[in-house]
Amino acid sequence: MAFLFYLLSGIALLSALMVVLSKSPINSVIYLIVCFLSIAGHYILLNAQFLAVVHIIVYTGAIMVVFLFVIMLLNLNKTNEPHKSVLTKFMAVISGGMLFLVLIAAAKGVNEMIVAKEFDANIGLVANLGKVLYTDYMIPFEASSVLFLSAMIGAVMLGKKDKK
Amino acid sequence: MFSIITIAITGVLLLYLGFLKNRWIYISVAITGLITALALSVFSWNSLETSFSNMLIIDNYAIAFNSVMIFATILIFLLAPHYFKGIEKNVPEIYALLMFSLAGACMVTSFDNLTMLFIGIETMSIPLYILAGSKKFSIRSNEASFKYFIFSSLATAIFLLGITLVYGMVGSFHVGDISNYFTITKEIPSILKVGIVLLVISFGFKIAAVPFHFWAPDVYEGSPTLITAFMATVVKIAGFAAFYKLLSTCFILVPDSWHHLILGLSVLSLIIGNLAAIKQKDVKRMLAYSSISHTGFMLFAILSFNSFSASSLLYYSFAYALSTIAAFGVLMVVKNHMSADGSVQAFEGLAKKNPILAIVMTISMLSMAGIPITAGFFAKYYIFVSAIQGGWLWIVIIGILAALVGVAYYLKLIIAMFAKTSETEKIVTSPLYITSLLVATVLILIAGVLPNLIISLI
Amino acid sequence: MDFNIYDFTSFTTWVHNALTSSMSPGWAMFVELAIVGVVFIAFYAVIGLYLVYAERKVCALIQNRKGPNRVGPFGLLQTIADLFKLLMKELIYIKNADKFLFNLAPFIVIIASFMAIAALPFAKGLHAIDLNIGIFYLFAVSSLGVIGILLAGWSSNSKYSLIGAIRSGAQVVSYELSVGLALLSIVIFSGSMQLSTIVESQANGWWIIKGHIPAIISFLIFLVASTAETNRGPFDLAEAESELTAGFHTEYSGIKFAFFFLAEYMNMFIVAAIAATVFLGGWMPFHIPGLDGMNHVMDYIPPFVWFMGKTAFIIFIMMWFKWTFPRLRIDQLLKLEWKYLLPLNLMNIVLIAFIVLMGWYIK
Repeated sequence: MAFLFYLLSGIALLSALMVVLSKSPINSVIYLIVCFLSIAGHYILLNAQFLAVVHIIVYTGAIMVVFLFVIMLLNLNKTNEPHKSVLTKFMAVISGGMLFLVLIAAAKGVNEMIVAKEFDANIGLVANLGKVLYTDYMIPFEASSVLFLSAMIGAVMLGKKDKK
Repeated sequence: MFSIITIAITGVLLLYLGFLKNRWIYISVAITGLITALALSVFSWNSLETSFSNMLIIDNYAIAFNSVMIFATILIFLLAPHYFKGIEKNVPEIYALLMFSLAGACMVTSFDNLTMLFIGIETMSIPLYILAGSKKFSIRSNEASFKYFIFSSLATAIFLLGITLVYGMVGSFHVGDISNYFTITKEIPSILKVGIVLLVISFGFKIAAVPFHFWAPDVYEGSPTLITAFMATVVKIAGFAAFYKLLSTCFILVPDSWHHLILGLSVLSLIIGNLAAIKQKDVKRMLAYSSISHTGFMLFAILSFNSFSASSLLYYSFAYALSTIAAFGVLMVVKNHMSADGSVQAFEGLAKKNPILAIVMTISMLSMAGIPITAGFFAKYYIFVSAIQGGWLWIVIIGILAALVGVAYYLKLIIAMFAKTSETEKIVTSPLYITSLLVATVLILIAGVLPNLIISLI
Repeated sequence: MDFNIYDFTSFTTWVHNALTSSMSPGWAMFVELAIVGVVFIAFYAVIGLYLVYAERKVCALIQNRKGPNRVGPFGLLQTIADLFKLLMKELIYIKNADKFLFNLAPFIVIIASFMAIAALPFAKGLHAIDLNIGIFYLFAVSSLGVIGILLAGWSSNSKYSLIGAIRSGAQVVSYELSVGLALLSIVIFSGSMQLSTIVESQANGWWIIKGHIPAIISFLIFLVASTAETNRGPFDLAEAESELTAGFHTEYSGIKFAFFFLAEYMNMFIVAAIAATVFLGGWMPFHIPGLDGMNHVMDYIPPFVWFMGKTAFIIFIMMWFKWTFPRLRIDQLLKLEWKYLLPLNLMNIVLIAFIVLMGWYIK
């Protein structure tokens, strides 16, 4: 199991890096798909099969397909990105590196930390998940319907063709 | 809880009413819904409601802020029919989205669980991305929408990372559990502090505090003015209420991990907000920077947690909301009738053309500057008192200096309005519009004369 | 070991025990995976080839022709000959195509259909994995294939391919919803997403009978939507021959073309198998309560045969569709989904929830 964890984490990190590094946006999308699939693998390792599958459906099946769509329709495959000045790059590297350092330094002390919550292997099963979702997390669940409704209205409103 | 439900249902209802194609029906339904929600909110005063497995806690703090926000929205809705005159497209959708955003804002102030906070913030923000871009054919509006979306999503990502780190250490999203954790644990792991810092940064984005303010002027300028008024008031107040609540309930025991950050945000917002506002020609941009400087003042309340700071924040929010709505209300008329570019010059001769508007604008500007007998004076006064009680005298001195600088650009606008021009063509607005502005103005004065009405609430 | 054609559980446990007793658990798992893989590849190839043959025969039947009848008895070896032809063919590469993605695309399509096969219950105790969210898993992996199609269309650097791919993407993303909701209706009836449980729940009658009207509605929606999701006629806009040459796989040749071809037929098989499992009782024999004599006769037919028979029946219906109806236009296609199927489906879900709540179905 530990071997699988490291394998999946390695793939996830590598493909996440490639998302940023690859020149063509369509390759980035492909690497992102790989990244999402390996994260779905992590969910399976945690015995959260439902979440894993939701992850695949939502991210790989829907969002990434929409991404591909947009890239294809806009023909974004030009590899020449707008040139950024050296200063901007330098600042980006500095600030990103600082966040990285801080996180690494902070995570170093976590070795001896106490486990905040015992892992329950059954928590990811769909029956338990549904029970939690419809009892404890009822309000956030219902409230997100307002969220999705407004996103949907927005999509229709902005996407609809109307005359000037 | 019922007021949030009422607001959301009114939003859905508005969508259906869109079929009727009658703008007076939309507006009357919207305002009825809002007044019902306000009444429901006010009548639950003193009845502490913790419902649904501790997701929301509707205490007096939440009710007070919710009422201010709902009231501000009512004023904005009163301005709406005049603003949307001649625009037939998508008006009910825009109203509905404002409602949904308000529902999100009400969730944000009354969260008792970090998931609820997250969903509230998203429910509040996502309609705004759309609303900011609702002038589809204006390139500035598109830019505003896009910029707001990008920056806000970045802030959301940071926020989520912060929540994740906190959850990883504490093992719960619940506010009570988090504060318990800090009473029990003596040595706080540094990764938790990183989480707190990330949460503070993401809130810095949401309330547009320097140095996370870059989006604010462009978004305020590009969005339709009515939406800007909503953004500058309701969303900002909700952000502050949530920020204050988050820090005061969850992380009050570990001030050293966020105090310096707030200090930096506050001082920078005061200085940069005011200095940049002086240079602005566009009134909307100027108001955006002035709103950034108000952020600096409001952060004082967070800096100096004591029994007084919550009520001083409430009072400041109330005063700020009223003056901002009045200012934007006048600005909308000016942009419609006088000069579309909305620069300071556009205000010249407003006093001749429509004296009521000029008076409203003057009072709102004076209130923003913090001149006595307007609400803005006591707002600043209380927030300074609260900061001094917290032992932050030197910050208060910076604050007073910043307020003095602020007077300069507010006065510039007032002088422009009373300047003489050759044109004397009258400006006519609808009675509803004037009512909204007058209500705001009168309340500014009432609150300025009788500050105890609000300051003694919580 | 006792090999029982009616229940494979003892057989599979025997294989498992034999393997674990003779080697370390890690190796045993590896060998098991290899066995399953080899069996599935063989199965995949045979089914794929004979579905092509079946399609040509059905087409011939409907068009009143004879169909393939020269190679082998009844032309049974025709598709094998075709396969060899495809293997021998030269692989053509287009200038300016994105080589990596161009080569990757057929594999994505075929892997997606492979992943789906793993969860199908072929007979009692005969499936590779019995996930507790089986239906959901099938739904998820069936949505992955579209990525391959989109990539194939885009990387070919050809207008026909691109248009085909975009059509296919729009189509699959839209019709996925109806497929998912139609399956959800049976999840509500059976109260489980595990395929074995769903099949067991149909021991006393198939859901299409037990669930009466709403189940029939969702079965019909499933048939239409899944035909569209697999890009088959009359919804084969992605490869509309008359206008797009061959759609997203216009530029493919040889074995890579064969991959797309095979995957298309396998997707049809998978969809038909899902329909058979969920609506028509999977490997459960046909029973009529009360008629014990007939039920016993039905029980004699092995579950595997039941499963394949039902699947073949649905495949036949889908082929019938293809050769009977004219192709839709893309706007008609999207209108059908978003304006008719989806609202109907949502209403049907509410109806089913109500029926299940009141217990108005045959238990």
